[in-house]
Amino acid sequence: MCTLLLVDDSPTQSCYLEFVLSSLGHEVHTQDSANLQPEELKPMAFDIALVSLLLANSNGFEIGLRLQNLGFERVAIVTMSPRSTDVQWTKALGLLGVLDAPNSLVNIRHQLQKMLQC
Amino acid sequence: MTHILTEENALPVLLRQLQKLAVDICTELEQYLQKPSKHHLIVLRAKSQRLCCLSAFAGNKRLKAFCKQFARCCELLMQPEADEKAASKLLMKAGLILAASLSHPAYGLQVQYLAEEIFDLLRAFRGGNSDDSIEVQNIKIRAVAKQFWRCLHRAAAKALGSMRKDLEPSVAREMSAQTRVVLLCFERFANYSLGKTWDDNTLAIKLLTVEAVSARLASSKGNSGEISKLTPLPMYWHKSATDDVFLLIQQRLFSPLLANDSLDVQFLSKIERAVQEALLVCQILEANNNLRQLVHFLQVTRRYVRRLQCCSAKSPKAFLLSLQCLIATYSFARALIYPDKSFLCLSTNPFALEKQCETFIRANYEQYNEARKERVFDEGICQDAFYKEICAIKITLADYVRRVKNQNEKLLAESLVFWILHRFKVAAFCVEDYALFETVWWVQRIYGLAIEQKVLLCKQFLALLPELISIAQEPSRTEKQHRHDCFSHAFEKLELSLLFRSSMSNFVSSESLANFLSENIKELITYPDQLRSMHAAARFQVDASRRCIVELNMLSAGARDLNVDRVADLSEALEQTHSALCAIPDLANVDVPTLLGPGHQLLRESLNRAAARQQVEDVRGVVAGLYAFLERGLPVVAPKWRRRGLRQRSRKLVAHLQSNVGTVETLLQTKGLRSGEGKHAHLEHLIIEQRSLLQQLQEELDEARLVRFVRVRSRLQRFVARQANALAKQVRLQLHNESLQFKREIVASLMVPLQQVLRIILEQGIEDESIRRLRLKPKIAVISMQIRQQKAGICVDVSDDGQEIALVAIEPVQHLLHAIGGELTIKYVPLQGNRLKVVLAS
Repeated sequence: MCTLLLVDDSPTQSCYLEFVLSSLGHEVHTQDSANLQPEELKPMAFDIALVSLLLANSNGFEIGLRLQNLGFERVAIVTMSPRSTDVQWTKALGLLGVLDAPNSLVNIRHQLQKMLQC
Repeated sequence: MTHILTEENALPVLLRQLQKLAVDICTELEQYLQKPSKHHLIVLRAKSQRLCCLSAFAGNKRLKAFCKQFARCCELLMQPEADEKAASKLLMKAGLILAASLSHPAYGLQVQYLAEEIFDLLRAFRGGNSDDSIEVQNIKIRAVAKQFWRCLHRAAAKALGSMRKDLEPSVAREMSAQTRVVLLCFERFANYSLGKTWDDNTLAIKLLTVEAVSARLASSKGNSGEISKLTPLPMYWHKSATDDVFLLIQQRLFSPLLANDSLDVQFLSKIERAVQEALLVCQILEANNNLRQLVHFLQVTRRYVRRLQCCSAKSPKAFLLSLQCLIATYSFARALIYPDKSFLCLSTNPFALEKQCETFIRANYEQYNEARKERVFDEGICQDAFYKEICAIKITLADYVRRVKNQNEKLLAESLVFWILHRFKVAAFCVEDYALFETVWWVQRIYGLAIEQKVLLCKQFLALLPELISIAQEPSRTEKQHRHDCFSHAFEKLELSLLFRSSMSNFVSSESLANFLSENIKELITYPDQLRSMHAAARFQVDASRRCIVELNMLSAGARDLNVDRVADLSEALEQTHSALCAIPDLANVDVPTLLGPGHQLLRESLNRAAARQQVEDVRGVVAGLYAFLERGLPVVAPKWRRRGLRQRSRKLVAHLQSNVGTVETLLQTKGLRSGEGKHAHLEHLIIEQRSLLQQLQEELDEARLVRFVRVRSRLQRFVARQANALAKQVRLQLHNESLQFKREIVASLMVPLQQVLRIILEQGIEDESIRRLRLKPKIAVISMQIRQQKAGICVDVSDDGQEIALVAIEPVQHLLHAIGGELTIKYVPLQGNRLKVVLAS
């Protein structure tokens, strides 16, 4: 079990992801990008920060970079409409990886484990 | 000639004849229903009478009585005062039951299928009762539906049982006949159901008919008919298709339908349409010789249905999900028949369809069902979130549409539409509105298709989305039919609009952009952070600038090719600024972070936005700031790191001079030795050497007086870019023969008139983007400069693709050139543009 920070603007998507991740036994804290105060967050309190790729007012890459600069060691992008370039772009920015959703619980668990091993 | 019929030898023959007659009756009945005429009734009566006789031979009294009643009903219907509508319904039902009862040759006549109710109704009808009996009749029809379904179910199951057992080619003909009977059962069911009520399970019937068609295709393989001649179907298809399809029909599709009691007029009319579509597929199978893809479509549909069944056997809603899959199948089928109406065919790639179906099933349903076992969604929260989401989407979309209308439509909604669709899809999924989920999924797919084909999505598409959202916002779940109709109507409009716009190709594909850029763009993305941390080191600035110039050059070219002009503009401006910074001797006086920080930050954001399928924001403000910095009198020289040739040449000159000085010193030292003969030869040698050195020096100096025109290229390009940015136009400057050498002063004196000429072209020659679009010109205008050597002077031919420039506008430039001994002529070539010639003598 690990503690996850989920940054997402979509209430339904965050509701959905929170539900899925918590069903895997993780503790999930959700934030939307408008109310996100990265400076007030404690990077050590979270194992992985998951940032949605498609945000209303910003984009996931920028938020991910901000979090990374603030000391978050593991920052990953979550996308519900994946493309092959997402992985390349994430690597170029030095982020952890891309979590595809919706996906089977087994796959999500596997992807999270891989991220935690990094 | 009479035959003695015994059970051993004659019964199979007799049963085949009975079957044939039953099928003929059904076919004739169908023709009558489509086009009522007395002729059909006569044929019907005759055939039913024949069937009646044959049933007497078979020893089946019930069948005989049934056929007798049937024949009498036909007779009654021929009378002018008969109620045709009510009678035709009855006849349909009777025909169907007839076909069902005769569906199996091996097990004899299934007399129990001859439902008592229908029998009674036929009797009642023949009795010509009053309106009261019609009332009773309606009530009875409702009661009979369930039993009728069961009859069909049993008939199909029995037929299948024999098909599974008898797979030898010798009985293939019988199998084909059975399949035909089953098909006819389904078909008659649709006709029977007119005027009844049902719910939204219409699609199950579609699936069922398509599966039946696929089974028919499979059984036709062994029939050595036309289909088998046309396509080499694999053998496994025969067996597996037959088994799987009918097991599916038997176990999955029929059971939920049998359990459902409510009937609906619209549903049944939809069933009829579905059956017609299935028949269309049949026609295709028989008439078309390109069967492979269609077979694959059917396979995909079958597989999809099976998985669907496995995942959501509890919910009848699952049938709705197959709608779009079938639409694709039928669209493809139609496209085969009507190749000119190719717009009906949205998904021509069955493999993609298969992949999508499987992904959808595997990812969404499995996960959803797994999750549901462990925890139950709070439906209230989901609904709440759904409507919040919808409201947010609507506001964002309205804002975006307004912005698009105010600006231009060249950079359309890719990012925003993706975002909206994506959220919309998730929202629909959360509230278990699978029809809506699937609809949005298809919208997204169409959108992706449009992007892949570089189709410019038109305004209708944008107008369609709010319409879809407003439809989805209707909270009433009872009006599903209305919603589906609205959706289908909207999709038709969308297809047409896509077709209409398919020829236009001016769309940004952010995917290709990201592919292109993500290769080696890391330098640019990390530059803002490096700039913040290491801005004090001048050495870092020069090195970073050199690296950035390379990346920015590549980026601007790539972005320009992909029509992402905002990124291209910004990268060009940044590249010029970096070049200028490299040329500044003292970097300490320039506040580099303040100058470059916003530009690079915006560039990084723009690149990230493009990668995240979002619209790139306006960059004009930052670009203007960079140009303003460049305009404040920076030296127009090549950057330090590019001046290797000049430095080498100066080093060479210095070495020559040092050598010359050395020679003179040697002369001075040997002054007193002139008288000596031995030294004379040495002196002569030194003088010869000095002469040659002087000659070389003279040549070097001559060369230094000439400059190549390429030296002023960046200055001219910067000027054009700055002016174009101010005028909100997009212009590209091309120079040809720029490596020619001219006297330095000639090039310097030509700069001001050339800039004036370029300014006039930009202001008056190049049209605004909207006008260029109307005139079908490229979005980016091109100014071309051809440099030529004319005697000792220079001649520059400037051409553009804009509109005609007034002669008055160039008069000041002409005066200016006259004053320095030059000349300017202008000529306008219709449909091509302006041609200006600037000549300056030495």
